[in-house]
Amino acid sequence: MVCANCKGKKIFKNLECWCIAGKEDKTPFADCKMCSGKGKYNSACPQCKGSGKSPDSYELIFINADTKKQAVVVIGSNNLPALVMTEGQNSSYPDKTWRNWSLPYGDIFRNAFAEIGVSEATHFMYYRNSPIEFGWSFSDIVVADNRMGWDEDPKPEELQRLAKRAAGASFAWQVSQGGPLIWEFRSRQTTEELLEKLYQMVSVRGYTYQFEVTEGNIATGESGWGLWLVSADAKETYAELAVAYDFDVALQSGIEYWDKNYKRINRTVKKWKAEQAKKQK
Amino acid sequence: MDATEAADKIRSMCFTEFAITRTNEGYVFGRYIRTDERRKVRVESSTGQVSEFEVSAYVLQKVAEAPTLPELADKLESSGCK
Repeated sequence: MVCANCKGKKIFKNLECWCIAGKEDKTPFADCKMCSGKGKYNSACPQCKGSGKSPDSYELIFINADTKKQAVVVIGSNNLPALVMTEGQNSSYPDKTWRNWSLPYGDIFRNAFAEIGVSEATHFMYYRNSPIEFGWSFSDIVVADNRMGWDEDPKPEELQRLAKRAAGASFAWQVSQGGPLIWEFRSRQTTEELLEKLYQMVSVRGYTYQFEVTEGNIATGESGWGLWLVSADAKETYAELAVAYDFDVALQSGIEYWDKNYKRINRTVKKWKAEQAKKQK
Repeated sequence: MDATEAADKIRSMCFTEFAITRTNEGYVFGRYIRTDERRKVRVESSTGQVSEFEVSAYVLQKVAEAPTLPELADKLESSGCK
């Protein structure tokens, strides 16, 4: 089907370059890496990578890493579940005027997780070998909404068109980036155990760790938890170990990152300290 | 309240510009305070432009400490985040 992002255009042409964004005189930067000083550039659609198409269906695979049990959920734009309309009158929000239409995949995903015996309390979800927020992307697919209740609601045939488009767009990004549609679940320790584990791992090498709420470090600009490696007295910051929306995911990511990279980080910190000591002499 | 709930409670009470540091005894909550010191920063954007500017230096000031995150959250709830 046609890509929901570029509507089949494939390439976005003559976009204003970042080097003139916000400038009053709109003078391009002569050595600009993006536009070579022209002030405009062309960019292939990031969702379909310039193909102009999205897949018609997706086969999502969920694996319990401990038991090897698997569940498969198929999202097919030609075989969609019936749309569900939620009305403001049934909502807990004070504004009762909105309506929204969604494809009820949330329950289908929850059933798949239950089938292979995984839950947020007992497992971390992994995508491409990295822990990610549990349930990320695995809820109802929103098709349309009428938040203010002022506009006319979409007609049934329009809703069907939007539903196909939303389903086609649902995992297009991962597919265009060459990502497998496989999510793995690994059993987890409690947060208290993870906090202790990381402390043991870093303190044995003379460091400690620090949590901060970071803004803008996550690509979409929202805030999340940043986990940093700092000196034992917390006066020097050495490395970012992880950043994630969820505290637990940041912690688990930090543990795995440190485990894989501690030798390199340790060398870098020692080198930096030696340089600082030289400068002070 | 478990450690995750405590961390999220601290985040919702204290917003940003804080750090929770793990120590031998537990956890220290600190607030970043701006100092008069200025530092030069050099950054290169994705377009290749290099800019240099001065920024304020911040120090971490200890506000509260506790042996566990839930206890730290409780302390901050009664004392405030500053």
